[in-house]
Amino acid sequence: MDSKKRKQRSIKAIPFGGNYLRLSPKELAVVLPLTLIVVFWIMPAIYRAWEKWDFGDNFRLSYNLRDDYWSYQQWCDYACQNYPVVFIGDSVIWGMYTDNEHTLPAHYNRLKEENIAANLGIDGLHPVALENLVRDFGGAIKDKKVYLYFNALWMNDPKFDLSAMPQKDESGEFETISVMHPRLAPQFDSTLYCYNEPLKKRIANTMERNIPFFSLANHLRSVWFSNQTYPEWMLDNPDRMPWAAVERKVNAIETEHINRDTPWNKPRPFKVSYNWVMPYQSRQWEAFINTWKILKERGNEVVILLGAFNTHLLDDDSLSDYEDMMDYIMDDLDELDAEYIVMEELPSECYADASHPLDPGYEIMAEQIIDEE
Amino acid sequence: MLFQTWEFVIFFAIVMAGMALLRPGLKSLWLLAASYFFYGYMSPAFLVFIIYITIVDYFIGRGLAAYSSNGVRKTLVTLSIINGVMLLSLFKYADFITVNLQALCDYIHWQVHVPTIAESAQNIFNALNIDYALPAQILLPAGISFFTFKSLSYTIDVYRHDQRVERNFIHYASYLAFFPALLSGPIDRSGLLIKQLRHKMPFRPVDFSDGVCLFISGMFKKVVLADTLAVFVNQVYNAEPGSYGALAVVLATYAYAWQLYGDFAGYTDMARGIAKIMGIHLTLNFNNPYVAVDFSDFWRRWHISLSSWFRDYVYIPLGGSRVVRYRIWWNLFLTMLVSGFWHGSAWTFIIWGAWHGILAVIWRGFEKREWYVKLPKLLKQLVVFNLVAVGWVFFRAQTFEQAVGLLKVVFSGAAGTVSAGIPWLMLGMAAAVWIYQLVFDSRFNKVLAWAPLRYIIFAIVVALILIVPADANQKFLYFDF
Repeated sequence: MDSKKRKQRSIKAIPFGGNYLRLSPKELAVVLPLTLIVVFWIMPAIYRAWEKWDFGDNFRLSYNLRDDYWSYQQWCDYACQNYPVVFIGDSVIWGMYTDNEHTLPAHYNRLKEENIAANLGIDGLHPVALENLVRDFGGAIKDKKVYLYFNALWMNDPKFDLSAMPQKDESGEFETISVMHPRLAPQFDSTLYCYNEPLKKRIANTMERNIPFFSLANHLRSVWFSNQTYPEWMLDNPDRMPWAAVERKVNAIETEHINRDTPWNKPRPFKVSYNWVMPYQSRQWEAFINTWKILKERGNEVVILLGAFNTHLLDDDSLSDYEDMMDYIMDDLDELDAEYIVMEELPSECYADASHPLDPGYEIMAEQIIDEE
Repeated sequence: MLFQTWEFVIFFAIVMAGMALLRPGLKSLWLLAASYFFYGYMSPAFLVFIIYITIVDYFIGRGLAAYSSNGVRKTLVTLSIINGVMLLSLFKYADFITVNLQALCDYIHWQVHVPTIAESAQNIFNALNIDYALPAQILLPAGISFFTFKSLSYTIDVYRHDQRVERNFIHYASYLAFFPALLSGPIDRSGLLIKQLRHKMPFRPVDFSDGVCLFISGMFKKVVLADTLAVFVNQVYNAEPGSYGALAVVLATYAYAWQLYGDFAGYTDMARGIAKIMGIHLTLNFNNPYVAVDFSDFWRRWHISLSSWFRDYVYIPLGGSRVVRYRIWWNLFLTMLVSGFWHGSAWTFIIWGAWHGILAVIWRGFEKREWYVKLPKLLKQLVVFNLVAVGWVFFRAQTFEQAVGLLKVVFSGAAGTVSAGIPWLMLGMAAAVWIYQLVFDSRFNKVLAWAPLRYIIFAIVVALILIVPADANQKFLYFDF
């Protein structure tokens, strides 16, 4: 017997394994893609149709679900079907120091005497994340009137702007610059120096943004499984079955945040110095403009709301730089032929901090927006 | 680099691209470079050991082929065995031996300090005026037990004329370092693997589909079965003995039995799948061990490549079954004891090996008796599984005292101080796998071969892999052995 025959015989003698999970090439070519299509796209679509939401007037997504982009997408789809106007932005739009009835969109609705505007704000949503949120989860925002809020706070420092190169500290370690909403950050952008998640996370985040199954999985964990992994949850809830924990109706309305009435300057005012990043150097500004472009391409009438930033707390140098920065920003917007409203500076006592207005501040802002209309 | 991570997917894609583009003569070299990269990715220092043993045993193999004198050949093979055992002892057993020697000295009140291997090495460094501080404990190079055994089997087989000498260094080095099987086996014999590495390793659709199916099956065992059960096992086994009652300990032990199976069988399924995609066939290492009806059957199903290694290179050289009855018992017991010690340098592993040795001897006594043969198959399977599970208590426990404490809880039926919730769904998942294997092993197994059922089970397995995983970075338990 020649060696080739011996080799073939010995290899053939190796059994496949202790199961019948063996598919021929043709079977595999059908079954595996079909399974993936069902799991990745069909299952989420069925679940989406089954899941029930209760979006009342002046709804805003619960603070606890701010990282649940599946929920955001459902709310966005609903809002775009039912409201002609949407407000998009970070916690200033969301209403960090107010209850649901005193956010900027809520005041806008009240002054308009009809519920025509939806609050699509999310806490911590810096422009770099906003761009990907609007692109990947905000596909329903089409042919709407959109108020897109620009919060200058994201450009108050190169680190906050995400354009800074991390520096080594005294111990020789690179400083950590945290990126809020990391799952919405550009995952493979070498110019985002401070974003240093491991490869597996970057791939997982990219998949979440492109395959509905992964955002559904995250949604289920956020809403029904206390953000635990299934094995951990099963251990903590030995008497319950995971499928029994999932209910049809999702309660996503914000209930915890209430109106705060203490302004930033109580008990005493103070001054801060910011190292503003000019628009031509800013990562966040670039992303903000990209967001505007995406929204315009979808046929929306986009109005950018510039400010209202709390300049009362800026020291003289910072204020001067801030004004320069805003001039550049307006030049940029003029060049793009973008529609914008420069929000008037609010009275000092209308701010809760550097960027968040209190309830009276929102009312003033809503009045100005309506006046400008 | 774990198989179930994205790093590996990228690495493997690059390896496959190389395999597709390179001419056959260069494939082995490419594979060797990939394997060394894979191993060095864990720690570049590990490469020193595998390269060392590769060079030594390659030249010993060449020497065995060059000399016909029995004396020289015997010397060479002895050198290879001593070298392999020394390497293993240095990293795996030295601290165990010194710690126990120290304990013995203390017990007999002999005031002497037995230095650990790291201390001894440091003393040598100091004597040589080498200014380098060694770590207190020397890190065990991953997979050392596996590649050392592969290398030993090669030189012994060449010595016995069971295997032709390999003259191509690249082929031999690729055999030892073949990355799918490098860290946890299977411990394939050189006869099977080197032959395949010498050939073209052609791409065949059927190998690809088999490889993907094996990989998915292994992934299910690892990320769905093992990692899920690990959460429950860790909770019970990491607590103080007595914290959990008898039921929780029994169920956690069953869960551990399936965790270990899922972890290790999962790894080897994935390894076999990856190799198969490359056109290389690795031996079956696990064949539904928990449906075994006796202990020789169990060891024909559990870690098959290691069991056959011990059979061929320990049990048979001791005389095997061709000696008087009490010697057979002794040979069986000793082989299992050595196997236990191979798994880890702790008394718990030695006791685990002894436990299997005792069971193997007892079962040899009556596995061919008429009354035993007539027992219902399922009953025999349940008895064997439960006795294996008792052994796993020692295997999993951190100390001998903990193992004894847990067994005391089980046999006294104690209630425990912590009220443990039993994750029935997790255990149900293991039960479902067991039922599948029991049916597969029965005369009704054709049901499972029915195409629509195969597709449904395959789809469920894929879906669970995507839905359930706790953490894709749980390392494999056998990396530590």
